[in-house]
Amino acid sequence: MENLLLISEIAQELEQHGNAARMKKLIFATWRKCWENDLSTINKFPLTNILQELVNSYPTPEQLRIAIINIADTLNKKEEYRVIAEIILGKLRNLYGNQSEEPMTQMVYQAVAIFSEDAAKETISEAMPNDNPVSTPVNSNTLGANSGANLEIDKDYDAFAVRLAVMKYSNPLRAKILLFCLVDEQSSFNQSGWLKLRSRPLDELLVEVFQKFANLEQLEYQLHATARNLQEPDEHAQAAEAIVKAMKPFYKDKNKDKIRDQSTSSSATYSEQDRIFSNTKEESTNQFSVNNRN
Amino acid sequence: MDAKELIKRYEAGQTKFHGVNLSGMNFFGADLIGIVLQKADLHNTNLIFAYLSRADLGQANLTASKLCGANLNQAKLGGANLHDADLHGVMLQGADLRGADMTLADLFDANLIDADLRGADLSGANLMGACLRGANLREEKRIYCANLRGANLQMVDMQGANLTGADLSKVNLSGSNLRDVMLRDADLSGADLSGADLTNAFLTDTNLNGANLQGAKLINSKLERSKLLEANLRGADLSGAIMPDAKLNKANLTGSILVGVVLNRADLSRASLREADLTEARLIDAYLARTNMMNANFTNANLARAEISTANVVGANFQGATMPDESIYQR
Repeated sequence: MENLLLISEIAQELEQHGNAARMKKLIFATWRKCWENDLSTINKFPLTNILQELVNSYPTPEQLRIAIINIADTLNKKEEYRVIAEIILGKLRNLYGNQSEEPMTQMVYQAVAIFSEDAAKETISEAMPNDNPVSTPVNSNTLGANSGANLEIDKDYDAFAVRLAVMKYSNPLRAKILLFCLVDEQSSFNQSGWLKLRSRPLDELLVEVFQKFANLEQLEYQLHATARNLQEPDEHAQAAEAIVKAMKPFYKDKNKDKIRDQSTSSSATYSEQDRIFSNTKEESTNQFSVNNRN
Repeated sequence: MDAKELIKRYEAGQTKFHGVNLSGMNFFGADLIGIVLQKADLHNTNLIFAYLSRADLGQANLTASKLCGANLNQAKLGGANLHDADLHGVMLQGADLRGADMTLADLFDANLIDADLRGADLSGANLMGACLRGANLREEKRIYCANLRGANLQMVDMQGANLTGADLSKVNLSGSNLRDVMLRDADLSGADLSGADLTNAFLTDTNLNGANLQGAKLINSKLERSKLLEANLRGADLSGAIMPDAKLNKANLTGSILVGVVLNRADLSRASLREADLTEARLIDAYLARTNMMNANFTNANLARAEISTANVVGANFQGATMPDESIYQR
């Protein structure tokens, strides 16, 4: 019963979301187990009811995930619907309040990166030995091969142009931390994070993120969501802006042959959604701090 | 004076701190914009994420200091000692680093856009992924001699840089952006330039002996009189390159693209041109003694007076080509 308020909040969020149409179609299909393209048909059923029934039919987040992904995988625009599935799952997660284990999401929605000043000071002295900074754990052959393999997929993506833009308009290290937290499944920035960062070139992280998100809106949303959870959120927000700006021209080429009904979500809509979302999240999860972690 | 004291004084308005000893102190994220720390002792100091834009650190001792993510845009670091310093992701845009000692420094993913690096000593430094667009690395004999010996320049962005006469022997420049770079008279012998982009680069009289240019892009580059003895150019793209009088003895050009290349009077003795594409290439008076030309494509190429009597031409395509006796080859 206490979930009713939460469900109606979530339903409202979904209705107001830039991608609402697709979200509702996917949710409806997961519930009905058949695809309905006609929104007027879908809108005949209150979203709150559908959501409640979904939670009843799939008592664990993992089961819901399987169900939604299965539907998404049958669609033509599979990649885009998978992204939408993740958003929905992220929002519905709170309905499963007492789950002990958080499901592993592909997108780092729960990217609560640890970056407290104290942690950095402590971890830095341990993570950055004085003796030989040049011998960073970098296997030059592997890196070269990696970058080559990734870049072949998007021949028009100019890695150097993107790097230049990011460096011109933001702090390279902040950009790396932001990208790393977005890309790394572990989603906690601690000593091992610092060490890993020393073996991941900025270019590599940028390519990985570019390939991960189907469109610019998603990239922007995720970058800002991650930035908000880091220490010095303003600095990381600046890095987020720089990355979005740098990648914008390449997303235009990427999406040239995608379907026409591109959702035209304004960033205003997204930040509003985020405020609602993060408020909800704050109530149900603890803000991590170094002490809690250890 | 300790860190707190300095910050207190700085916040109260003091900016000049010549020669102070702040070694080993912690200034993580400190706001020290425009501070004057000339000749200060900052060795082992923690300046991670510190704000030091326009700071004057001329001749300061920053040995083994931690400057990761620090903002040093437009800072003065002339003659500073940054030996062994950790500069991962540092911002040094427009900084003055003339004559700075940056030996063994870690400049991984650093921003060195428009930095003045004349006379800077970067030997053994790690510049992997760094951006050096617009950086000044000119060799000015008698005054400035930038040193990049043994530096790691993998994936570096040096587009448009002026590296005239630079000593880059054996340097790792693989995957780097060297578009429009001026490398006239530079020493790149034994350098690793695999996968590098040298489109439109100036490489006249450049020493590339034994260099690795596998898969590199040299489109429209200028390579007149360049030395490429035993160089590895496998799969390289040299479309439109201008390289008359180039020395390519024993060079490996297997599978390379040499469309429209000018190789007049070039020495290709004992080189491999296996499966190379030499469509429309010009090889007038070229020397091809014992050159391996198997399955190479010479469609419409010009081989007037070229020496190919001892070359291996099995499977080579000469359709429309001007042969050494100046007749046009017709099947």
